[in-house]
Amino acid sequence: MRRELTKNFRELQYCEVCPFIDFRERLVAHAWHVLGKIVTFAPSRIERVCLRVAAAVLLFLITLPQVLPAQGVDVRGVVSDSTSGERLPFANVVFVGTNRGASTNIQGFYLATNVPPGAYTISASSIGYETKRRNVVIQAGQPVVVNFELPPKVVEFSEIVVTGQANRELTEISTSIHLLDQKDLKLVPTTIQEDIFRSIRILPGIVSTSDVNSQFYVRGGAGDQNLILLDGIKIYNPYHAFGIFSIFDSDIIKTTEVYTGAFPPGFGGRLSSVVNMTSRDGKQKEISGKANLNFLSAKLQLEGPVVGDATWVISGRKSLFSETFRNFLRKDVPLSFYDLFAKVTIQGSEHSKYGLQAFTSGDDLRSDNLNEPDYSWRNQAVGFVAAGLIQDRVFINAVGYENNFVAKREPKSTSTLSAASTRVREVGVRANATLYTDSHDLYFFGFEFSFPSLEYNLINNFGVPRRLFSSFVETSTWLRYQTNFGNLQLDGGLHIDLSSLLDREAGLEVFQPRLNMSYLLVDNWRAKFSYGRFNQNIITVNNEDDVIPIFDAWIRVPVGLEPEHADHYVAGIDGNIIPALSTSFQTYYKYYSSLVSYNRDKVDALDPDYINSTGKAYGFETLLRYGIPAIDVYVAYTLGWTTITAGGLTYYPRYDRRHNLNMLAVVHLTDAFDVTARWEVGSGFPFTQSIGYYDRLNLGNIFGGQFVGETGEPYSILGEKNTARLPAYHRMDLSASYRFHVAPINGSLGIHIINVYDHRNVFYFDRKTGQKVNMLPFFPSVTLNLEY
Amino acid sequence: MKRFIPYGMFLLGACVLISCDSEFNPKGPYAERMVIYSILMTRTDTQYVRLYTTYDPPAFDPSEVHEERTIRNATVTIRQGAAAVQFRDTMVARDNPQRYGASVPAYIGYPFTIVGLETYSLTVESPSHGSLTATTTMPGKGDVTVLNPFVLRSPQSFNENIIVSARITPPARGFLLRMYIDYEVRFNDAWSPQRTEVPKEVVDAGEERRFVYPQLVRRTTVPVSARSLNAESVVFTNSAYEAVLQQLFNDYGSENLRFSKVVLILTQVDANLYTYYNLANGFQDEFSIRTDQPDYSNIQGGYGVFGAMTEDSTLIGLQ
Repeated sequence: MRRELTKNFRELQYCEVCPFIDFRERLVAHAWHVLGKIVTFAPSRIERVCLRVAAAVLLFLITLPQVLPAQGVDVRGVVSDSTSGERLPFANVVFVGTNRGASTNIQGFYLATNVPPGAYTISASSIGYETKRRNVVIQAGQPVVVNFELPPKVVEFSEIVVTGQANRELTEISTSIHLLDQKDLKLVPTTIQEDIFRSIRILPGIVSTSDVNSQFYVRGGAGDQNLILLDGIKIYNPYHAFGIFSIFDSDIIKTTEVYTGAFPPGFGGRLSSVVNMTSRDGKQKEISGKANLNFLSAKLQLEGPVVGDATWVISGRKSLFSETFRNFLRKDVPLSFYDLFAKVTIQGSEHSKYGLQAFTSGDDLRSDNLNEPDYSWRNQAVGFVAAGLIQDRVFINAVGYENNFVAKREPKSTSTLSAASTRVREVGVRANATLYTDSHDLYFFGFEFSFPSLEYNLINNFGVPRRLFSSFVETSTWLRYQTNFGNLQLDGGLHIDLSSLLDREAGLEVFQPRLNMSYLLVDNWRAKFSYGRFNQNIITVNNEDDVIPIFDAWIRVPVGLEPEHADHYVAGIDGNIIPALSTSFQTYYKYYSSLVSYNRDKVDALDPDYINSTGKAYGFETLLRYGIPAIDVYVAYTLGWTTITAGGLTYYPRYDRRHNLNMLAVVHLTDAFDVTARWEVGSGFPFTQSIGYYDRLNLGNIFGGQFVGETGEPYSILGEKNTARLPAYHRMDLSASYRFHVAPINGSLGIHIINVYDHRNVFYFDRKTGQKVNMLPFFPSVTLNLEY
Repeated sequence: MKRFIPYGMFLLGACVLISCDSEFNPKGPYAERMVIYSILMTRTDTQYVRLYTTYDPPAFDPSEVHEERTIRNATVTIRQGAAAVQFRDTMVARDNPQRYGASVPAYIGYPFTIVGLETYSLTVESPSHGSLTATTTMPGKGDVTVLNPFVLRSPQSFNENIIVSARITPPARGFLLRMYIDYEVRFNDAWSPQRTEVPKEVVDAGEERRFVYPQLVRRTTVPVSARSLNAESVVFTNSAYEAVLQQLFNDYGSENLRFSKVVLILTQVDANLYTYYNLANGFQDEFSIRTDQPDYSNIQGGYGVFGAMTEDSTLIGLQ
């Protein structure tokens, strides 16, 4: 083997057959040959596959420089906010009078390749900002750097925010992507305070099962099938206690990409959706602060420049639940939470950026009542982010991170619950690169390498301490290619999961194809199609019929079971009926060839707790966005079905909702005064009816030979699982916001009313008493924001 | 004005739905079904069948129902091969009369001696509730042996635990092996026979000791044929045995105590009783991480259980 390699290297150095071939091309040719030999020599099939994949990635990297520019000049730069210096993602850069253009990436960077020398007017625009133009003369030679600083529009009164957003999504090839920035988050009336997960619940295909829970379910997927990323760091439990709020303060989030299905190859490990958040870097030009006070929490955020091009941002929240309820409502709500985010960003050379960030959050539910269990949750994450341009045309975005999630349950004197704790710890590296080519095609490639360890400790029903611990390696790489053929845009690639090659227990499929196609029909109408194959090998443990999953523990898919697999098929058509009215119609079908479900037939210790099941979800979504200067209207409707088949029984999971309608209207009454209304209507969620009782004998004295005289305990008989439906849900929220400026402070005063007409939406019912517990009633609140 | 039309429609729709506060009942349609309990036992020639029905409380609280819904006019038959025993209506005393009163309506089969390794089928035919059947196969005769009986006679002389071997039959899914000490206590110069169960082990629980008694366990062996006996072993710690003896000495004094024998009782239970008993007593699954509690019944179309258990014993003299 060694001899073979040496021989090939010599051939490489002294190749006389084709002296005209450039050394790099010879390197590629010989590398194929050598790798072929290595693969042949590899002892096992798995290792051969592994080497082939590694060879493909290596060769791809080797061949990259061969697609470097030849004639024109590259124009590149960053687009940023002129007041804060924050870079603006998704801004459009257009060479006026030509068909050339580019969009900024998540770091605000753009690159237009191979621009012929000449004089150009280049414009940059972004939603909520004034358009800027610059005249540039491009000469042959080195790349030209053209940066833009866009001033925010003073008043958003005339901004058609929602249709602007629609146009942005329209240009995406993907079917199921939603892009949200801070303005979008602020559109949604708050349940006391802004929350990113509550905001994304207005998107089509996303449902939540209650008012007091931010847990969401995407196109029939379970709650643990959503991948939550903050700057590339995986967050395993992104909710504050009970899921009332997410742990992310919406003011630290710059942009959010929400993929409700068929997500691109760069994401893996989950079956249903991706919420990819990018945090703010902090203002470059001045120190500023923001404070928010409402009934339930107080928040303070500070940000500003350090020396040079460095910026910082720090934001913290602390709950005021207990104090508010105790002082105003005379109720004891022993719930408290906090979160703290800090980030330092250094703008290195012109197009590079380095950031160090840390995040922590904690929740406690501690009752004085000994019959109520205590809970605590803790999240910590730290990450180092680096982004920048290398080799002129390769932009790299990388993050190294560690995160830690711990939750504990102390039952105290509770007889029905036992002590439990769970921990997720993960160290990982994730890197993604974009290669810009002469032909304007884009290549994306990257890898992720992480070491999660999952731990779950509990005292089970038998009183036996159980510890489920798994520590493993998650390794994946991906390749993605975007190109145009006339009106047809293609975006395809592979998510390559290498975990199964390293760990036979992983059971994941190595190659998970992803494909997005978009065809420009007429004007701005596009037909789109997406397909993707997805795998997941970690799940949360909870009773799938729990009203709120209070205590979620992550475990690896039990040994002997297949990991979860899903195929997504999405087709749709997007376009503007009139300039002010954009629409999107999509239909989806998801087939879960493998899920992990409760074994309902378990009656014996040797029966497994979980079994593999199958499922499917399908439906239709429509999204209408209407914007005129005085009003923005957003309407999202989803018609969906979800079924799971486990142990021969097909049933609707408890998050299956047939109809889901979200309407949002923002009326800009004056320059400083907006009124927002949100109305959500949803058909009832499934539940299992009680159909009677019988007195169940526990045969406590059977080994003494007696059972006949026993009376037994009433035992509830349940009907067929989830065949009944709760009543329909509907709720209207109103919000009025008044912005003011008292130098040097910008402020806003908001009045919010939750459930304006006080509809009693059923949260759950007590089977024993029949008592209904409703969700949020009519609830007014006031918020005050101050920013200097 | 035109620009406010969508907003107006929005409000209008909301107002329409205000009146749609739909009724909701968590109870589904109730259909009364039979509940049957019968455990066939070899220890007696009297067998019982409990028969009653499910119920639907007027509101939601089942404890509001104070009248047991029994079925008195049913035909209850247990068959074994060609032989059939028809059960008669009877009343037995209720353990706890608080909810339903002092006596329990039941069906009795007497004399009815159960034979090991045979399959019995229960049929209940009720004019009002139809017919239900269930079957069970009796475990056969097992045996039990103490491998080191000398420890029983002089536990302080040996530093070893008491090892008991139980041989069980194929229909048995689980077994329970209990050990008793039979002794006599002198009261007023008269000797009175007494019995005390021996725990499997003693666990230190802080300042107190806790006795751990044998539980019903699943068999660990796989039967090789329909009549083969498989050996299972159970260990009683020497310290547990000694602790019981010491307690008796403490209670009565050595001069008032006379040990007669150790009795080992092996109870074999069939799969139906084993499964039901575990579920009805807290889902006794030491491996499970689930928190729900499933139900089990081998009464097709009804609830309850039709199971079987056998008892065999061995005596070891202590004199």
